[in-house]
Amino acid sequence: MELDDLKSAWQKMGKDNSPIDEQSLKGLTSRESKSFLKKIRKNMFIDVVAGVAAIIFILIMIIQVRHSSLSFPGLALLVVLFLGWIGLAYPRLYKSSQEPPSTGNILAHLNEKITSLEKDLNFYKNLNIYMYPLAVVVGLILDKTTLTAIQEQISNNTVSLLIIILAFAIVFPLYVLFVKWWTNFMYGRFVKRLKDMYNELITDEIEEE
Amino acid sequence: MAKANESEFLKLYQENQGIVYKICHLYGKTEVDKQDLFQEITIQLWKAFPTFKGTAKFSTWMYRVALNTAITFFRKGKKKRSEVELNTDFARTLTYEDYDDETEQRLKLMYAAIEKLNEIEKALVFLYLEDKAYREIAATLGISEVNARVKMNRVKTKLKKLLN
Repeated sequence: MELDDLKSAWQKMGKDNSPIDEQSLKGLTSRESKSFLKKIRKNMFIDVVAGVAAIIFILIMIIQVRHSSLSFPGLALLVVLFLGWIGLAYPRLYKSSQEPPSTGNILAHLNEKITSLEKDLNFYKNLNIYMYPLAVVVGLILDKTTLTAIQEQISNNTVSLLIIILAFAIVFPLYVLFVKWWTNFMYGRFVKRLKDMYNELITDEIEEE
Repeated sequence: MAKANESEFLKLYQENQGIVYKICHLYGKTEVDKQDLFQEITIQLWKAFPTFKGTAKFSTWMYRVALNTAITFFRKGKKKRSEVELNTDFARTLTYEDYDDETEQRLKLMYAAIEKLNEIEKALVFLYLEDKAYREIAATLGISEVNARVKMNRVKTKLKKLLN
């Protein structure tokens, strides 16, 4: 059987289905979109909010266990940072998930989705790279007891400062690598799938030229 | 929904809803998939409706929005029951009553082979089966006419291999 033999059966397809009524259509259009692009942006936003919640929880636990004295400027800075992160992530990740559907051709649609998704993934990745280390630094400022202990240790022994710098120089790049891997592991396959489709469309176009 | 807009959309949608059924049938693997895709395409069509200026045919515009939605409607995780109970039975979209047993069997095999194609190939097959000219297929895909012909021939060969 050839594909052309299917044409007549294809034309008849769906003819027996009764037209959708007004009530069903209203029910459908009032529903939330299940688009994967919308879902992954929402997931990224939830990740950021969950990250902020986790930092707050850990700090409260540390403060309670260690009976630390609180530094007001540190606390204020931390609150500003939390609000800033969520404020940055909301329009970028949550609101962009409400973007209107593409009415252009498939190639343009794919290109548009790849570009916007890559931008959002970069934003998410950078936010994670700086959010947690910054929270650790601010957390130290907030926790006067630990900060004083570190200061004393450094002033008594210059090697301690070297060890701290060295630890940071090793741990931070490792952390950056982990974030990149995690972002790719969680969301990279969606970009890859879109790119595969895009490349498939343009492959012969390039050969023609 | 604004009342005038709503009735205009409903009228155009009802006239062309076969397109949505066929796309869902082609891209959805299970009944739940098809129902979900049907819902998603309808939502996207309604959201995009204000951009429909009426300069092109509604069906042409519908092909684009529906195909764009279908090719990027990735499913993952558990397949939950569709949220809206639709009065649609996708099994009914496939009617073999007019065919003898042998033809029916061959048609089923052909559909099974099409199911194995990727999203772009399915879009090509869909437009081809809709009897669209290569010029229109190329415009919907965003590629040149020559490229559309080359790809279509490749899909036909692939289907032949899958059937043998």
